[in-house]
This record gives sequence, structure tokens and C-alpha cells, in this order.
Amino acid sequence: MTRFCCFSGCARRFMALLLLVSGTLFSAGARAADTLELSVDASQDVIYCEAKLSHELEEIAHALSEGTTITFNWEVEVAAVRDFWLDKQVASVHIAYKVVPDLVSRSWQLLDLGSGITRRVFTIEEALQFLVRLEHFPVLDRSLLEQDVLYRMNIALVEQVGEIKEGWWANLWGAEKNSATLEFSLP
Amino acid sequence: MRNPGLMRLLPLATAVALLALTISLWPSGTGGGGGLVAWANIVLLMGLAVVMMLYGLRLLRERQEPRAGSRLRAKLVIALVGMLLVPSMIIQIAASQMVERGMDVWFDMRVDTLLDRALDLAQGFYARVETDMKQSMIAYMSDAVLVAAAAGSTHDYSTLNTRLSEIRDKEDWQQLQLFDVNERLIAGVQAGGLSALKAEPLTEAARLSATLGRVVAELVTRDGSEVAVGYAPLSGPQGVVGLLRVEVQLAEGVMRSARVVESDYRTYRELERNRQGIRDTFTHVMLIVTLLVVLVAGMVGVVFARRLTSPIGELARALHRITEGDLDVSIPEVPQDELGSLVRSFNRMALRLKQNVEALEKTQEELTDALTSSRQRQYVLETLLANLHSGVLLADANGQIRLLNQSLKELLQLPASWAPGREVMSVCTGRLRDLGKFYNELCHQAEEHLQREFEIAMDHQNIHILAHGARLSAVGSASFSGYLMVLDDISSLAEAQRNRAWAEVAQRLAHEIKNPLTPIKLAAERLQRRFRHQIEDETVFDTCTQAIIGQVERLQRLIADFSTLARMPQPKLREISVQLLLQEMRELYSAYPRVQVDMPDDGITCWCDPDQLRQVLINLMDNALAATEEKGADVHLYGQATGEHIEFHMLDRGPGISASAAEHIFEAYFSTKDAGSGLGLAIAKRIAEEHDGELSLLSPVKPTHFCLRLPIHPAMGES
Repeated sequence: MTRFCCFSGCARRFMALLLLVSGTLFSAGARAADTLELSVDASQDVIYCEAKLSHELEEIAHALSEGTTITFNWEVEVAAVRDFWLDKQVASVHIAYKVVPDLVSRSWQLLDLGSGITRRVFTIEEALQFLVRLEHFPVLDRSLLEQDVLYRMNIALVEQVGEIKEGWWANLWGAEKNSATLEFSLP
Repeated sequence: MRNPGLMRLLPLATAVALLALTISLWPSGTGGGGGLVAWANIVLLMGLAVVMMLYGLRLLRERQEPRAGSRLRAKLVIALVGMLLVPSMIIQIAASQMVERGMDVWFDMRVDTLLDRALDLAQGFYARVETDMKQSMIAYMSDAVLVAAAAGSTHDYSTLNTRLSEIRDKEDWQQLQLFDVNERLIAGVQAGGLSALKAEPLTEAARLSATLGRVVAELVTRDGSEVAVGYAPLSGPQGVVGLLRVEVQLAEGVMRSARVVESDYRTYRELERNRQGIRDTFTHVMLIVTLLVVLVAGMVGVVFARRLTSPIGELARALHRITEGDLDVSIPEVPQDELGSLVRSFNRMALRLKQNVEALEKTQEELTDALTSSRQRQYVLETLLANLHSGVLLADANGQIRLLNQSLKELLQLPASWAPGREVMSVCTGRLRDLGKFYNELCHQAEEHLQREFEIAMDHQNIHILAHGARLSAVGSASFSGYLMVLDDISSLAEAQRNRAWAEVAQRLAHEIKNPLTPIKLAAERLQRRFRHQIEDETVFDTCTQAIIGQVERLQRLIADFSTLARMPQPKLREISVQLLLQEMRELYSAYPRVQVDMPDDGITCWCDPDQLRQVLINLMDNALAATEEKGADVHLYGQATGEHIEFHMLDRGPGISASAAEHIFEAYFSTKDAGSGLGLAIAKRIAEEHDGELSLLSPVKPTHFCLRLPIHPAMGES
């Protein structure tokens, strides 16, 4: 009986080590949070966010210069922080930016998939800036927030390099994801 | 399989190797190829690792012998998997090398350069068109007719259209349109005539052109063909007053080629950028194929090995059950192959073994029953011998004692030298010499049986032995041959026979002698009366006649005793008081002051014939008085109750009885007195025995001590 317990303990320790290694590997696969810069700007009526991707910009620019279509899906969520329960979600905004290069005319068509607004630029820097940053983006009305309540804004960015595939399973693997979290409260 | 300990660690080592491979193949998430396939590989590898790990832990935990056939099954699975794993890995390595080489060929520098140049050509074509268009449009940005029309200074549309037509014809543009600052179409010309009066809305590029005040061009796809569209602001004194829009139809074939080049370039660059991913994808695909092959091979191997080793395991389990003693074993038969033949042979063997064992068990039961019966018989025989009053002596053919019972030892008071294994003749010495003679005669006679009577001297008396002998002849191989001797003490029987003979003699004597004695006595008395006076010597006459009379009277008393002994009447039992009986004895012998009679406690009674009991006590008292007459010693009589008996003790301090006389003191006609008939004590003893009591001599001398012991209560039959 003692020997069985010993082996059982060994098995448990081994499984724990396995899970630890797996967790380490999974965490290594995830992008570090500090590659995405996030700030919150609370104006008189609207809460804005500023976000900027500061990672692999050269690779993105290179892909755009080589004619690869790139889509950035921004997901902004605001939730009230609760200590003993799940956070209460207040707002959720989805933004999709897409850049379609035209190598023949050396221009890049910028598409805001949410609003349908398109624009064509003739420098790659403009296309890159269009993709990698949210400038003064309105997230929610200030009236939805309460004073002296801690809120957490989470922004996630999913990069889609190449044409968006139609299958639901297409983005289960391979899509790069960045995220950043910032806690704030109304001043 | 030389070292089982290392073999037990093999699954764990394999699990560790699989985990290491899992870690090395873990998708990086930063552009690593494979995607779903990579994760599928990870899942498969981890699954295999977990399975191997659990199997290894189970092997380590198992202390007992593994199940039958499991090792062979494991070997078969390992062999089958190994047979497929090695070529699969070789194929994968070769395929990886081929892919590597192929990718080097695909992404060759010349291809790269060729695509760059092709794209340059496409871009150069469009740039040329765009540049020409822009340069031409710059020339018309200050055209007076156009500016005036855009500014609304003139409404001479004929002049305006003519001007536009001139410009279009001159520049060979496809379409030329004029917009005012409010983006309203003022005029337009088109090759082949206007297709529609309504103009298309201006794009962001047009507004950008108006805002920045410079010529902007863009490429627009329309109806499957592409056109270069240019926007040039028209500047007046007050700034931008309008916008000139120009469309240049691009050569369809050239643009199609340019788009194909663009597409190929884009695809090529994407492939080049994903070169590592493609390699990884190929590796993962090959790996998952290998893993699936291994998995399928393992499963097939398990199924195959299970089917192959199942009969072997059944055989091993059946053998184990047979070893444990369970013979009801039958293995389900398998298909007609060598294993099936083996199983059938085993079933036949098990059936035969079961039949043999059943036969053995039956024989054993019979033997056990026989042994039990033999033991029972032996027990009965031993019990019989132990409880038998007759002495039994069994000797084998060699003359050695094989058995003698306790009764024989007690009967003959055998010494310790009498024991099984001793020779009969060597121990039949001294007083037991007659027994040796009997045995010797039994051995050497021709008859099967022998019966003899002889006497053996004991401590104080001789016992009369009736010996029966029989020769035991061996009938079968297991029979016993030897001699059986049964010895019975017939001393009492002999004494009874002797008493009976004496009684008959006494009765005849009494009958023959008693009758003439009375006439003799009467004749002597008559002679004395009638002829006494006629005889001169009267003294002699009186002496002679008196002697005749005295001797006749003595003979009459003797004959009376004979008659008493011969015709002892049956005692008439009744309950009498012992104290009263002794009181009578005291009064009877009150003339003898040396006679002391002690009374027992009042109330003690016994069942007896008082006359016969009184006769015994008187006999004992007379003997005691006679023995103490010379010395005048005391005679002591007393009675006492001892449990179920009443005892009368007679003690005297006379000269006592010699040892040789004591042996025969109770025999008839034995007397130490000159005038005694020798019948007194014999009669007394017989009376005692008739009362189920006994008369014994407790001490022959100083004091001479007789004890008459009678039961207080009568026997059931007598009562």
C-alpha cells in the first residue's frame, strides 16, 4: 500500500511537472503584453482610447510593400472591476482595419470595415500608421461610467496577414494576438 | 529482455523522449508553420507520452508477475511499431531533405529577380501612363477656357466643349470632365460619345487633389478593365475654382499581364515569407502521418497481438488454474491453426488429467475408507483387548511379542521386561515357566488350537490359569502369521468346582457314614448299660465304650459340618440392627471377660440372614478364643459402617497364622487345630459370598485380624 501511494505521488508530481511545462510553453507562445501600448483619455463626454502596436512594424511594412493584404481587428472592452466576482462588462467595441496593397499603382487602399470608408494612400508609412494605431478613438459615453469605480479597459489586437479566410476554423490557429489592459477610474 | 528492470523503464524513457519531442515541436506562435496540424501533432505526441507514461508507471507499480501473454504482446506491438516507425522516419527525413532542396529551387534568386523585374515593368508601364497624364494635366491647370468655365465666368459651353474635345483629341485621353469647386459636372467629353450625362461622384483622391492643389492619379477598375484616373485642380485668381478629371484607358492586355505579375509576385513573396512555415507545415504533416501510421500500427499490433496471445494467455491461465488444483478447465477453441491444435491438445490433456485425478481421488477415498475401517477395527480390537478380562498375548512367527493387553499384565503381574518385540521364550522364566511350556507346545504341535490349565504362583497364592492357544496362518501377502494365546484366571471357577466336588463327597459321606453311626452309638451305649456289670475290669470297659461313643459323636459332628457345607441353604435376607446383633454376641460370650465387643452407632442396619451371620461371627469368635486360650489374650469384636458396607472386625492377640497357612486358611478341610474339621472358615467365607460380601484375613499375626464385609443394602435381585 505504501509503495502504491509512493508511485501515485510520483505520478501526481509528474503530471504537475507536465502541466507546468505545458503552461510555460503556452505562455511562451503568447505575445508579451507590453508590445501594445494603451492609454485612456476621458474628456467631458466621451471616453477615448489611444492604442499603438510597437512590435514587428518592419515586418508589417515589409509585407505591405510586397503586396500582402493585412487586416487588424481591434477589440476594445471596458468592464467594472469586481473583487469577488467576474468583472461587469460596460462596453465592447470592435474595429477592423484593412490595407489592400496595389503594387502596380504603388498605392495602398485603407478600408475601415466597420464604417465602409475607404482611402487610398501612396506611402507605406501612412498605411502602416492606419493599421497599427488607434488615435483618440471614442469607446463609450462617459455617462455610462460611475465615479469612484475602478474600470478595466482591455484591448486586443488580432493580426490577419493575407486575405481573410471564410471558414470559421481558419483563425483558430495562426492568427497573432496582442492585448493590453489598463485600469482607470473617472477623475 | 535480459534485464526486466531496464525493460520496465523503457515505456517511461519513451514517454520522456516523446515529451522532449513535444517540447521541441511546440508551435512558437510567431509565424511558425503548421497551425492546426502542429497542434494535432502536439496532442498526439502528448497523448502517446501520457499513455506510455501510465503504462510505465503501471509496470513499475506491478510487483507480481504480469499477466500471461502480456510480455509477448508487448514485444509484438513493439516489433510491429518499430518495423513501421523506422522506415517512416527514414522516409520523413528523406522527404524533408527533398522539400528543403525543392524550396531552394523554388525560391531561387533568379526567380526572385525575374519577378522583381516583371513587377518593375508593370509598375513602369503604369507609371509611364500616370506620368504622361499628370504632365499633360499640369499644362491644363491654368487653361483660361477651363478656369473661366469652372469659375462660372462664362457660360459658353460650345467653346468649352470644343476646348475639351481638342484637349482629349490631342492627349488621346479616354474621358475628360470638368467640375466646379462644388463638385458639379460642368462639361465633359468622352471617346465615342458620352455614355451617361450623370458623372460619377468624386473620390477621396479628387478631393485630395483639390485640397492639396496638385495633380493626383489613381487606378480604377471598371467593367473588368482598368483606367487611370487623374485629377488636376484648376486654379484661378481666387484659388482653386474647379477640378479637371481625366481617364486614360489602359491597354487591357498589358494591365492583365501586370495584374498577373502582381498576383504572382504577391504569392511568391508570401510563400517566401512563409518559407519556414511551409517547411514546418510539411514537417508537421509528415510527422502527423508518421504518428498516425505509428498509432494505427500500434492499434493493429495490439489487436493482432491480442488475437495471437489470447490463446497463449488462456493456456497460461488454464495451467495456473490446474496448478492451483482446479481441473474444470476448458479453453474455447480457436480457429484451425497451430494454436488451435495446441488448445485442443491442452483440452484433451486437461480432461484426461481430470479423469485420472478423479480416479485417484476415488481410489484415495476407498483407501481412506478402508483405512478408517481398519483403524476402527483396530480401535475396537484395542478397546476390546483393553476391556477384556482375559489376558491376550500375540506373538509372531518368530516368537516375538507383538501385542499383550493390560489384563494379561495385571493377571500375571508381568514385569516390565514383557513388552512388544521381546521373544516369548526369553521372558517366560521362573514362575512363568509353564506359560513358556504352553507356548512351546503350541508352536510345535500339529493342531491349530491348544487348551491347557496350569497354575502360576503369585505373591501369596497360586492362580489357576486356563490357556487357549491358536496358530494364526497367513492367507495372503498382507496377512499375519503367529500365535494367539488367551489366558483366563479360573481360580474362582476351580475353587467352586472343588467346593462342589467336596460338597458331593460330603453329602455321600454323610449319607453313607451318618446312617451306621447312630446304631453304632446306640449299640455301644447298650453294651455299656447291659454288660458293664458283667465285666470284671469295668474301667477298661468304660474306657472302650466311651471311646466308641465319643468317636461316633465326633464323626456325627463332622458329618453335620459336611452336610452344612454341602447343603448350604439360601440366606433369607432381612434388615436387622447391627447393634442388636453385637449385643447378642456380647451376651453370648459374657462368660469370657477378655472378650470385648464394641457397639457401633445406633441405627445402623444391614440386610442379611441373621442366623448365618451369627454363625460366621460365632465361628470367628470361637477361633479367636481357641487361639488365645493359652495366653488369655483379649479378643476384640466391633462393627462399623463404611459407606455402602458394614464391616465386622475380629481381632485377637494370639500366636497368629503362619504365612503358608494363611494361603489356605479359607479352603475346606484345612485346619491348624488337631480336632478341627477345617470347614468353619470355609463355611463362613461361603456365607459371606452368599451375601455378596467377603471375608478376608487382613492381618495374620499380632493381631490376627479378620474382616467380614457385607453390603448394607441388598442386591436388586435379592431384594
